[in-house]
Amino acid sequence: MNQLTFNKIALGKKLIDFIYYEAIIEKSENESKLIAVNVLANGKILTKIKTNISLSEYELGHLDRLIIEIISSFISDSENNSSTCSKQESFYATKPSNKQKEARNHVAQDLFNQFNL
Amino acid sequence: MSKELILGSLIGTGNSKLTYAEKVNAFLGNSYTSTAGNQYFNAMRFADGIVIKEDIGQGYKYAFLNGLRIYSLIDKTLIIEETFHCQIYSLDWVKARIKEMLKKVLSEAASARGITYDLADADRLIQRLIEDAFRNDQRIIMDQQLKRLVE
Repeated sequence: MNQLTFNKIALGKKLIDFIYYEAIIEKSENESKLIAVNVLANGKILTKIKTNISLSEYELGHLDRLIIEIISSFISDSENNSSTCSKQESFYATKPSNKQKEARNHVAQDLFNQFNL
Repeated sequence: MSKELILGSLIGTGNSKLTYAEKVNAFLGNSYTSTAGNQYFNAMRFADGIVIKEDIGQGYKYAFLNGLRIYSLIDKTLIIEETFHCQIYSLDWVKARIKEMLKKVLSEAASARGITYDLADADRLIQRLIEDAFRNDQRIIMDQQLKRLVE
């Protein structure tokens, strides 16, 4: 059984203004299955929603709608289950790229200028 | 470069419109409502050389701060970000986190250059920068900051 990222949406299709998704589909001789939907933002996977849906009963043109329903349902479930927030987390999300390092230096320089450094 | 293009490149989409909200003195955009009825949106504020973007979720009872991002205006690049889970929104907490993030940027740049500085001065300077951004009219600050880019 081959696992492939469906080409049409592999690069990430826009769901709303700042969220994209991609479908992971397993193909066998007899059927194709949607096994996961990755929700992306800024090119990073925010979450992977595991599914096990046979695509034989879905027309290709309806795949987008199916995926949106899966994501909507996932968000709705998460929201409904997260009413008791017991912990707070924060973390630095990324290691800075060279471009980010340069931009950080510019911002720091602006601040240093105000110190006369 | 037009204001719209600069803002579009900062918030990651050229199509989303930012609207100034006087009540919170910020530009709001990227708004959507989930199927559970919660509203998600960004609030952006300009400060000296930077743009601060908040990711906010408004639930039925609380507003949550989901993320903070700081961009260099001149580079139009994200310089630092934090994400949060179940962090109830508080303006004081937002300011405190921004302060810590900017102190980190300053500290890293100073280490890289091998220079030292007065930490108390840095604290005051950053505090003033943040207070100015939240207190002064963001429409005027945005115009001043974007003007700097084209000068």
